Amino acid sequence: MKSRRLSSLLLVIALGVLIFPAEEAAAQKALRYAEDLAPRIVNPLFTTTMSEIRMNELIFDSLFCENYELQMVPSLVQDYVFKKGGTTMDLTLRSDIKWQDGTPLTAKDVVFTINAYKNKRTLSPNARQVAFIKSATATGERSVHLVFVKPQDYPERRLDFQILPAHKFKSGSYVKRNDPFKNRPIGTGPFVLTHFGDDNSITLERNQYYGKQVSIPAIVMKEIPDKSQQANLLKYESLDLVVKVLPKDVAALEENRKIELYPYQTNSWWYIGFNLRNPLLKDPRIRRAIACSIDIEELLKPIGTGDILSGPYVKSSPYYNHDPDVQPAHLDLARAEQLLMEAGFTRGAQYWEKNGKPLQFKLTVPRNQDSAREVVLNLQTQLAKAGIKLDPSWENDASWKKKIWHDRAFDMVLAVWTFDAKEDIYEQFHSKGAKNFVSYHNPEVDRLLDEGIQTIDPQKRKEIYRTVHRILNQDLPYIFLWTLDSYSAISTRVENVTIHPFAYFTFIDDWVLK
Amino acid sequence: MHHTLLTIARKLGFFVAVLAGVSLAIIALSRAVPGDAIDQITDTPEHRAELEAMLGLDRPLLAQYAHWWGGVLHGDFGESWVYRQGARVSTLIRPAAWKTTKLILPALAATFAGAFLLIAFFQFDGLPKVKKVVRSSAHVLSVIPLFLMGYLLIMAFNIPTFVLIERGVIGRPSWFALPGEEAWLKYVLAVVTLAVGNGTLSDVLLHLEAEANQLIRQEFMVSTRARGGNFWSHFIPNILVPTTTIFVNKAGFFLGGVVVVEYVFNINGIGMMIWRAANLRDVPLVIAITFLVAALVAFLHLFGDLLQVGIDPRVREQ
Repeated sequence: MKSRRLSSLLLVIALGVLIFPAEEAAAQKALRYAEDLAPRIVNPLFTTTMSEIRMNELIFDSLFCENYELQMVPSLVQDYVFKKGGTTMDLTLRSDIKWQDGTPLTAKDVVFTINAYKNKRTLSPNARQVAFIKSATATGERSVHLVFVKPQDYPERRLDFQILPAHKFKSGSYVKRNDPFKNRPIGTGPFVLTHFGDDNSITLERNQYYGKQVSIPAIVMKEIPDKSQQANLLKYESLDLVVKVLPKDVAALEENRKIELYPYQTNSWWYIGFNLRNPLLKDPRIRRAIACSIDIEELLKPIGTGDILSGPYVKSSPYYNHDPDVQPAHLDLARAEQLLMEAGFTRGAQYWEKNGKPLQFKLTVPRNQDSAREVVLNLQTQLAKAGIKLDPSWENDASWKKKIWHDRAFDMVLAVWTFDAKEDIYEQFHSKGAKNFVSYHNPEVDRLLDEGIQTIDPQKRKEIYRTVHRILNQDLPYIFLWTLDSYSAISTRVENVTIHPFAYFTFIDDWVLK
Repeated sequence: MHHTLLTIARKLGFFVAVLAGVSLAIIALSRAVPGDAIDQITDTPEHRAELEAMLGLDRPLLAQYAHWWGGVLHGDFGESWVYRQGARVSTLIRPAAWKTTKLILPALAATFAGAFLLIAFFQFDGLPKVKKVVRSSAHVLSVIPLFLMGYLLIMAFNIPTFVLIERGVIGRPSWFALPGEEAWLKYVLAVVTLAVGNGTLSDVLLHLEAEANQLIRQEFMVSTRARGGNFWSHFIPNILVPTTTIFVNKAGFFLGGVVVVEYVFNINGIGMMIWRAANLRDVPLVIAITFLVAALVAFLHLFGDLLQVGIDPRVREQ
């Protein structure tokens, strides 16, 4: 009798927990999306992470932006005068644009933004975006005169940096990182940032001054570090959007009728980089032997689908070299064996050896790299079979940058590069490039990369970069692996979705929230 | 009296020394770990020297240490370098500390209350088989690691609730789905996880039970029982001293556990904040949190010691 009463009581409590307070959450009226790490600062001058870039896209606008055909079209600009190959450009801003506090957009804002980026005291990590502009002058209330450092063929492509409100900054063009603007940023974009939550969430509401009708009334960005938890919350309808789904979650989400998977291209590719300061890896035969010991397709299979690459551009890029003799690295154990013998190695019981030492390398991998564990395990197995020992070492972001970028204390790295639409590989492969941590140096590549920057003829530039692609394929400072198919998972509550390949929320004006 | 004052002075001195040592150690450690905040806020190498000067990283370690203490004595822990660039550290810590307090205090209370209830239950005569089952269950449940217990609890609530919602049996509760919403149930489950998991309940139970058994066997307790005197009026004050020691030791352990529990339940408390700040090499935030946590633990030890001095005349004599 007693146990029955107890069971009844427990059942009532359980139902109470489940039902009370059963209400339709107010958040249902907002588009809720997740980021692994919330923006650390909301100010385009100091943006460095993808979550910050996405947040900026919701709040700020640029002079030019891409349309659905990925062509640059005026955004804040009404008219412009530019002669191809010229060094000046005259812009007239739209008269109907207002900042989110109701103040009209003026030429002063554009001039201020360019000068703020360029001001050396600002220390903007994005100053390179405006380096091609020599000066900007307001020639009228809505007229701006730009002078470029060098002749330009298509400056619209580069005028995609976001514009800041001059009237919100008091210290001239010098903007401090801790400027109060970051607490209440305003832009001319479709949404206004209204609240920073204690849980690191950010709430945005529709911008009443935005020139276009936007269907989504509000957006809530939630910080959820675990990507699998993000997928679960989407399944349980606690989220409406997961920016990038882990390959292992794709199948489960695909089956869900209330979720739509949107494949989208990213300009990013995986690679294995060799430290060319390492005496062994300096030898191209050893690098080639390693490349010939790897079955890239087998490495890719467990983590998803994508294109296997032969060089530093994705296949949809105009710079990708499609010549039949420029092929991705592929498994050829006989060739690997021959190359290692030529390099003076003999096959020991387990590994190739020279002077009694096994052929052994340390592979450094960023700890937060999605799906890297599966790749490393398979790579280790494949190379072990080919007689090469691989010792993986996992580093968090901070120690990765220290060990790889500064100290160059590594043999091989497995990592991913992500590029914007400009696909500029200068920093990675020019001998003076800031991200050339593999210490690659080929005078011909240096010359071509320098020439590529200077060239304004798109056809000529295409030829230059295709040649760079070919040389890198032969020199093998990296084993170019693949570009993964990325999937964004979005609730069917959200309709008319188009995802821009590099700037995720570019077309959010047209999204519809049911 | 003289002895008591001397004991208090010695313990206070130790408290201050611990804080000075901990703060110096953290600042030194932040220099020793690979990577720094500058790599997190820029990838432009030519800005490094200016950013080092801006953040004060170009100054000698002891100068940084002195500067930091100068701020702390004025209640200023500086600005966050990376986590929320330019935000006052104290502004960031305050809400996070409140969230963590909402976890730790109820969890500590739950662990000790649970342990005492179980001990009281084990002391009564009869039901030997039930006692055995309860004891084993408590120990088995308690050995589950925090992250696993957290994920299991989340699944145990999410899966059936979703089924009931889908079938139209219930409406959508405001807490659903865990751990996405800032709801009371999330905190309750996090408290349960912290109070029970990683051997906490089992450990406290074993220690307290050993102390209780030892106390019960003492002559004065045996004679009190034999005389039919009030058992609890003797038992409670005497069990308070070992309980305080266990409580103080466990408080530090709980502070370690919150890192995992806050991650699993997506609670932006002190544990989650220090984990992120450490990954981002946000030195002012890491130092401030570590310093405050160390101060809290040292204070609890001091409090425990002083309480013992107050309660137990033998400690005063020593």
